[in-house]
Amino acid sequence: MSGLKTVLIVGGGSAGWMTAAALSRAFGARLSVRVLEDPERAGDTGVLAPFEATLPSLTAFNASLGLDEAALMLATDATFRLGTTFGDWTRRGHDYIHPFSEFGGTMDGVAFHHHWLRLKAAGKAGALEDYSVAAVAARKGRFGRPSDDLRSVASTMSYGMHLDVAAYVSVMRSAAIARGVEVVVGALADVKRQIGSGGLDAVIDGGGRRIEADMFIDATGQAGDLITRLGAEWVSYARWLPCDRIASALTARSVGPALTEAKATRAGWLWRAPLRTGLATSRIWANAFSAGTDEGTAFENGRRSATWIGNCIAIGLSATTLEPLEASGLHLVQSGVSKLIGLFPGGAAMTASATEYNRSVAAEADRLRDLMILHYRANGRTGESLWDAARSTPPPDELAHKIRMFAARGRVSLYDEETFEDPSWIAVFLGQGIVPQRYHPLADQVPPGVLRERLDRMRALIAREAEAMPLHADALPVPARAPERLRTS
Amino acid sequence: MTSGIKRIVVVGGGTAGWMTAAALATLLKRPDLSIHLVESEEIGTVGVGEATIPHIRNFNQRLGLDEDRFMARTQATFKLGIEFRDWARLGDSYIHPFGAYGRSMDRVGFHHHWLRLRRAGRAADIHDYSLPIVAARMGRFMRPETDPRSLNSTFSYAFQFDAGLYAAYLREHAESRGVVRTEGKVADVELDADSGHIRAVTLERGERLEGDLFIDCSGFRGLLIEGALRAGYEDWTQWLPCDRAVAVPCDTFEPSTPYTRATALEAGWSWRIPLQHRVGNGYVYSSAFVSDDDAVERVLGRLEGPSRAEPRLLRFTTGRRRRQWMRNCVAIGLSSGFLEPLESTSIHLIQAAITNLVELFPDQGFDPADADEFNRIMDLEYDRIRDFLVLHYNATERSDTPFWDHCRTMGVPDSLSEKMALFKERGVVARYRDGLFLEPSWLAVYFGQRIEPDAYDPLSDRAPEAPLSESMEALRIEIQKAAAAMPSHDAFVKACCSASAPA
Repeated sequence: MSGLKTVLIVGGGSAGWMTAAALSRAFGARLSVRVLEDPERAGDTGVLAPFEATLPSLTAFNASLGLDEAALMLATDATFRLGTTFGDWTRRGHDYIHPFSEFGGTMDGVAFHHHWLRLKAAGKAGALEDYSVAAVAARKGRFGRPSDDLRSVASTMSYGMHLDVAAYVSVMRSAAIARGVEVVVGALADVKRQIGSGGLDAVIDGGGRRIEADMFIDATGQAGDLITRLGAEWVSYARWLPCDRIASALTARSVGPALTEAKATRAGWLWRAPLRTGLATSRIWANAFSAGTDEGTAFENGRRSATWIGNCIAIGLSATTLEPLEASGLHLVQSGVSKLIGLFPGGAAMTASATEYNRSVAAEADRLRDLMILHYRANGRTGESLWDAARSTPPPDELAHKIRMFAARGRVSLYDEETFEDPSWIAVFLGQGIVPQRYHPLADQVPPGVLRERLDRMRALIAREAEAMPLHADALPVPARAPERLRTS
Repeated sequence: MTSGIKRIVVVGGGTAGWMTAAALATLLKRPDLSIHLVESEEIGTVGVGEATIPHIRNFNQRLGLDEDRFMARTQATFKLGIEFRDWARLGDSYIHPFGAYGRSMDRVGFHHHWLRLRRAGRAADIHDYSLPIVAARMGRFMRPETDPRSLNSTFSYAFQFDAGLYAAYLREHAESRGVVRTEGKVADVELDADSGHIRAVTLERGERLEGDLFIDCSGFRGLLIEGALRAGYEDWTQWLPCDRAVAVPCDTFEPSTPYTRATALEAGWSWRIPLQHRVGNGYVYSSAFVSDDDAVERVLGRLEGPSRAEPRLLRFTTGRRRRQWMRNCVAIGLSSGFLEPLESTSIHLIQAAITNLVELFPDQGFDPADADEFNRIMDLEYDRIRDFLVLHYNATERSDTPFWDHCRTMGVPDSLSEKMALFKERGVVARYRDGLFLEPSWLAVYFGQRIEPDAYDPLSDRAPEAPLSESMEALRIEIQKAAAAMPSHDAFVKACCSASAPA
């Protein structure tokens, strides 16, 4: 490895420590990684809330760091998660699941949801979620792991978690330090720009100390203290995603289903998720549409215009801020780190890597934005100013096209850098009440009797499979079996 | 709810017309649907797409064609890749194979390890780590195995065939499934005064064919999409300067090769496509740099055996239709745009258009969203293939003719220059969702065109050098053995699908 020898991560939190853990795991002693950590910001999680729901990608990230899942879950108060229920978005009293498994299976080269739409139109299909093993299991309060057997209905399942972010950060911090990452105690005060190259030579801390590195990671949170000094601008999503406050709490409660709950309220929505030791709650609302108190933490949905400038890379909230509606907080940190490692310079040059990183991070954020806007745009809550406004705000072009395609013919139209694939979009489109006018032209080729029989069989099989899974609380790791200290080999 | 399409009119036969008619008749099994195809025996078909890529096997499968029978009917041979001669430098040769190089190790792409070891002087030519390349060089072939653990499962294959015979074969298939062929030339296209949709075409002999959906397979002219609807055309000659081709088939006495050859010449390149009964040859050139007469002379001088027909001259403008689907008309084949056959993409683009048309099959309402989505996907297909083709021309060191000077120094689309810069800087192949060519193809051409990454993935350095080098050498030997154990291509073709044997 030539050229790049030292990385300075400015800021701890999830962005700083996940990056530190992953870089030290990837490059070992060949790369010196230091984290400038401000003691006054201790406990800063680097995401919007103290509790997070995660996507299956984080499970893979943890495994790639060599972390034992059971020990990690115990250390972070974690539970499993098979999806999110969205309550009261489409109309009051209605809810639907965005699950971590596919719906049914492709038949005769035509995606399942077309067959389902056809049977539904004939009044003979069950609810869409009856054909998703993750949704059925979660509703029954059960949890199961994906099956390796491709013929099993459980093979398309995956899972995420609910966890205490501060605890997760401390696991990452320990893992990083165990691999040689060095903590530099101090607060960012100033930066020294490189002459000509558009990057940084050094940062200056509050005590006037100059800290040099070959690469800098901006993990300073929403402020983006490094990347903004290098000229990155804010690209706001607020016009479509107006919520700008979040306040969280944890109350004692026994473990519920392996589901995150997102329930629409008058001026925003309510996030609830089971932790091992209680029920985590976050209220997310738009101040302009509520009483306008100053409680909670302020944020604005959006992204930076550039996230890799010169030798400085923004990861986490300094790059993209999105409310936790689709559990993208820790995912975006993980994704940023993975992209960085995939493009990590092998020599001194990094301008082409930066161009590719900027393209891919911006597109990823915009596509996530679109899925979130869909929830707001297709709401059915009339007579409440936030929701009335959300329905009437024209969506971005890409989302407008997606809605048009699905509404017309059930087509899921996807772009580069999508975080969520067809099953997720289908769940949200149909859940939010966007019912296609037509289904796939080839779906009609399955005789009606055969179609009904196949779907009935599928539904029964899924119900049986789900019923055989353990209850969520019983599936959680047992403390006695887990070692006190985390294995980080 | 609006009612379904009842009448489809395909204007133009040839490869595009008959592929479309055969596929729609097979896939849209609707008793109330009629498919008419109008073609004229007076209008020759272009049929340049004699070499294909592996996707065509899916197409044939969906149509229910038996592969051996299809090969015998079309004088087909197998294809493991394309050999590019003289592209980066005179004397160079590389094969773009249907398969990946080596195996990834320690979650790092093979080519990064290879770059590292080659710097240390411990790696062979990258082509030695590709089974389809080694087999192709030996003139050997077998169909891949299905067991994913087997080395013999790590490649794919396509065909080299007579596109005219393929069209004739598909015509039988289509007609047996109810497609009605009408002989004649289109004299007039009738548009609806309100909607601007095509209502009918009238043939020279006066026959009038009404339709709900019209497929324009009329070739370069784009009789419907351009002639009647004025969809517009985006000209890409600034990046792909060739605008003519001369084609001539010849006899051969050589054993047939399981690959197509593209040799860079003074003002373009020449193709060589070995079929069972003959070899297809041609010269794709830029009229700004060579005269037609000189081009004809050049291609005739290169023939390996007696020519079987007079040289045929084709003129084209590289680019794509601004809207390939407009109102109730979908352009498929050369009417949708033209990309030279350097990477055998012509038939693939027909296939992609048919697949997308079926996925987005309209009803009488003709929701413009369907056309928008079709055009979005097809534009991406075209644009990304364009970039891949431009790479072959631009990444050259040749300065021996004005044509190559031009190609080497011309501007390229930003979407390509970013990809090239990323590969040069760090050996990374940029990814995308919609687009034909994946990482192994880009690697083949980057390396083949002598683009040397300045750096490899630093993660490669985690693996100690000696075991890495040993495992790469073991793979190289395994590939040599596997290729040598395959039957010769000629013997394989003779045994499974000879056109001269009774089918």
